[in-house]
Amino acid sequence: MKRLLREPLLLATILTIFAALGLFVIYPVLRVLFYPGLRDFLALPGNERYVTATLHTCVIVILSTSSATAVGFLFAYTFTRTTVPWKGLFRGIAILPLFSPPFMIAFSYILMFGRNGLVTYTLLGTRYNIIGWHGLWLSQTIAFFPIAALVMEGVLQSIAPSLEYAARNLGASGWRLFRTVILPLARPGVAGAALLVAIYVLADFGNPVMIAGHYTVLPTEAWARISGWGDVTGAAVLSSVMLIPAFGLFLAQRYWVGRRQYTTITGKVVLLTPPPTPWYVRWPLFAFCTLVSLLILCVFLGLLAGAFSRGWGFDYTPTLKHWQDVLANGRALINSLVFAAVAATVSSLLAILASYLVSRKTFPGRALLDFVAILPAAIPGVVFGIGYSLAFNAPPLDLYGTAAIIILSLMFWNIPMGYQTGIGRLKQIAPSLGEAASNLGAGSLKTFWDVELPLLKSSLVSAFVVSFIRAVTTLSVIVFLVTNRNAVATFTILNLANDGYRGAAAALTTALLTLTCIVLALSRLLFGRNVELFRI
Amino acid sequence: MRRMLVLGLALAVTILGAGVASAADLTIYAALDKKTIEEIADAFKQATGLTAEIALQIEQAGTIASRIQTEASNPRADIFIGGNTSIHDGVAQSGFLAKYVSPEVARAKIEPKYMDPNGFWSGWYLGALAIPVNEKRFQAELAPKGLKLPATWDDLLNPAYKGEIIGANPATTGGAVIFVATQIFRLGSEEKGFQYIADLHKNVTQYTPGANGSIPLVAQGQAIAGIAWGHDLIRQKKAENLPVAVIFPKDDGYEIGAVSIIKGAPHLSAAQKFVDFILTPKPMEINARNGLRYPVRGGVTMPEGVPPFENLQFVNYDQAKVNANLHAWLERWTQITGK
Repeated sequence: MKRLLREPLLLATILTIFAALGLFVIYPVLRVLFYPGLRDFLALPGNERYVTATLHTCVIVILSTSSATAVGFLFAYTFTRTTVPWKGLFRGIAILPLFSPPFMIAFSYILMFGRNGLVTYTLLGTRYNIIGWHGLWLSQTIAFFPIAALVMEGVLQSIAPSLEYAARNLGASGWRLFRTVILPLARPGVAGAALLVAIYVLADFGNPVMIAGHYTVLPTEAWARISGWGDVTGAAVLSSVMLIPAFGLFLAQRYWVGRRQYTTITGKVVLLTPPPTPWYVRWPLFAFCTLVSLLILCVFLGLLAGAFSRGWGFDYTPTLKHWQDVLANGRALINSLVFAAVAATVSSLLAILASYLVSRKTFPGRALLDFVAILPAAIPGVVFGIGYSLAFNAPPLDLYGTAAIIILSLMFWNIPMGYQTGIGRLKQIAPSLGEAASNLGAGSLKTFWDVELPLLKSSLVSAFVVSFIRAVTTLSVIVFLVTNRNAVATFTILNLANDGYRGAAAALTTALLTLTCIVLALSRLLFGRNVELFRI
Repeated sequence: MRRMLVLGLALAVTILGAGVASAADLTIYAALDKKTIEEIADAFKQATGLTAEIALQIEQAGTIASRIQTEASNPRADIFIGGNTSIHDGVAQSGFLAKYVSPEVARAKIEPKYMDPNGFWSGWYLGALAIPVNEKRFQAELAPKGLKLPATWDDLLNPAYKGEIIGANPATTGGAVIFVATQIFRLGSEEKGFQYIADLHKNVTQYTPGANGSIPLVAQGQAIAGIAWGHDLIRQKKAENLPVAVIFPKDDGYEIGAVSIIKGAPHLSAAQKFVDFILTPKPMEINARNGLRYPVRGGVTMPEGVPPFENLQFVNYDQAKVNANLHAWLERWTQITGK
């Protein structure tokens, strides 16, 4: 504490961060939690629909998390430790699902694998019905395995190939090597990835709303309460229920990944290429990656088919007419990109700063800051949006109808992305560098700005990228905050689909994805080629 | 990189600081399609000289109703237009609407059954339920079995439709409640009505959360027939050339679309003028032309392709009975379908 007082600037920074998180994370969430009365909560166990939705949610979280983590592991293993052909291509394709906004993955799968699907009916002649829990399982697996793959890629990469060589020299090979060396070393990564995926699955709304049929889950049920009946209370109760497992998962992740440190980065990277992969591993992995990649490409082919054909799902005559609607909605596209860029920039910087303070400084309330910085990840988007709508609608902080309320919500909703990245990266950077600067007379913030920040460049950029993509593609956060004047693209896409212009909705989605990719490519040019864009 | 950061932060502060001030005389939240509400706002300006800003347009009346609730501490909008009376009733019961009975109701002799007995909302259009049928699949799979396009609700009970009908879930959409109530009123008793629901359930492959969820799925061929709002169906069919037949069955059910004034409306007198205006022929004509929704008063020309209202046969719909039994009916529906 005394040291803090000697650095008033540091103290001010810490207080500002606390104030910001308190005002823009804790306060809105509390507003949602206290919106329903106690009686509404007590009525919950008696409501059959709510109970069913809760059970379904638990089941699908277990199923989709397991499969997404397994697929993600195989992909990460393929990228990092094998000589499977085309693995660079597979990695490129595997990133694509991160870009897909709500509705589109699942609708594409109905087009491809539904009763009248291009693959199932036109090609195979069956009237297979994909709608239901199995369809949801498939689309969530595809949607979320990239997250698992990216997390585990980092972990698997840091297992030095020299260990593998050493094990081989000692006589281990094949399955035994994998089981006794690679797998134990990868375990914290697998656990961390699984818990992260579980949180995403828990809060997922876009896939179940389209493809789950009767298989109601908590986010869709909360959404249905709002869009069908205008029942904010019911939605708030359901969302509060969702917070319990979300917290559980997050605490588990902190505990598991935080406590154990299996991989050590010595600073001296041994540049050994991994030993060649035996054919009986290489070709099955190749086949598997090809299959999954095809499933991913299907989604985007479905999307393109919608954007360039006259009737999505029934008339595949090529046309450009939907692109007139895209031009008419250029404003919404620009809003999406600008809002997301601003939110992601501030969010990633704030998050990295917070992670620096938590991992390098001691101050009262450090554990609290750690908790609050990851809290938004556990909060479903629609809760965040309702909270902002309740909290910032009247003076003293009246943000109704401004771009600011949208940007702030996206900014704080994405804090955990940058924060997690920063914490992970700072563990790998020796504190001695900062200490040296400090001994030479630099203050904490100067040390951060001049020493730590340049070292954190890659995590800052990856935090920006993930936050940016999430901000561009979210619908649930902003639906309570937009007005027509500052509508963003996902809102317009929802409106177009509701009004029956599904072709235009597909075209606008295509335009949004293309522009997102262009922005990311530009940021890569700006920040330098050596920055890895997709590292979580 | 750090220079970029400073630049980004400066930009962020600039954008965050940019405020929004509305100069319009009236603010509208609309659960109507974009074209319709924009044309109505233009016509309102011509008629009264008042400008109206459409601050929110989304065809989910519940979402708008929710926003009216979360923004109630400092209401922004004056008018909630579109969406059926059960949604407006819900918002009124929670205390978020202001009473207003337009003098236009008496002047134009609009039937009182279209107006809220408590004075919170005014009905201004009617929408009828309809059955979309995927023409291609019907001709290929059901016509050879000797079936004709369905003309009544009972035609949907034919076992040939097994697994080929998409309904909507009354627990999540008011449109499906109207469907269930229609069966009860049509068949004369709750018993018979729910017997119909149970029989139909054998053919249903899926109940969508929204009232119009079946439209894209039937168009794409995921199922052969569905149940949706006729006006939305015809409009979407025109917009995207959907390969579906649209059938308004005998003993049809209908919704009353409403307009209401939000409690604490910043522009109360303009809002009242807007409600007066909505009950005149001009906006109803716009709504009939774009949204294909039937006007509640005479003297409005209907567009081509829409069956005249008189040609449709409606059940004797008893809204009071629906309101009184809503909870019990929903429970019974859930028991039967297990959804």
